[in-house]
Amino acid sequence: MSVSQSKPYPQSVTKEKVDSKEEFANKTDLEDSIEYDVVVRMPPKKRYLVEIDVREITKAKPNFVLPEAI
Amino acid sequence: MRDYPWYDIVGADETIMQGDFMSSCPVIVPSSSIGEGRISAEIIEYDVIVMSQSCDLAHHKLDNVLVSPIWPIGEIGSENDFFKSRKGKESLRQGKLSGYHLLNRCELDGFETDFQVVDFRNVYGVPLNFLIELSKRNGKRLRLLPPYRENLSQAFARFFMRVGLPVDIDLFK
Repeated sequence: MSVSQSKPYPQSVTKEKVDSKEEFANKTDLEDSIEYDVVVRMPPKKRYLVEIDVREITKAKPNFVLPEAI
Repeated sequence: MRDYPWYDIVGADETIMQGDFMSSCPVIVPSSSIGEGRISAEIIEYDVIVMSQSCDLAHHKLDNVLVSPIWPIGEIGSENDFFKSRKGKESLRQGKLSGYHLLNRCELDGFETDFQVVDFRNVYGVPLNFLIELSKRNGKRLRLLPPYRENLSQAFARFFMRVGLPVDIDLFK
């Protein structure tokens, strides 16, 4: 590794290279974090028509399940 | 390292649990107007995986069981090229495709499957008693084992709890 002697506190001249590596890492992280919003409408495995006899239509009744701790 | 198998085969009479596979599960799609008398309805069938919690199922604490359709990765790839690509499959594997979850291949005798994709966007509620009868009719079935089962459940929770912000914070540059 070469070292610049032109300043009172010698600095590594490889810093620029290190920075570009960090930049690359940031870009990679960003790409890694992207979530894709893909929607596929899959057809059902099978589809057919039936005739149904509706005998009665009633409003549903609640079916509460209380937690055991109460 | 111990083996952590993804799947097991369970008998038809075993209690239904989260992560159980049911093949050809019918869903009734009624016509738009429903009244007393004869109506026509469409039946659509899917291979599904049970999403409801095992404890609720075991103690009959629900009337309807939440199920998600599943697809072999090849079939979903034939509908959408992204799922055919290496990038798409890799995104799926890494859980970056919200709404879809990848399950491993199964090599158990008689239940061999390719990688399968769970579709969280199109879930259905199926009456528990009906599902019990269907499982008896279908015979032995495949079961997703822990911790892969909990991982599936967590992926569904992550999908369901998403919040779309009307004004998001701009990307840092």
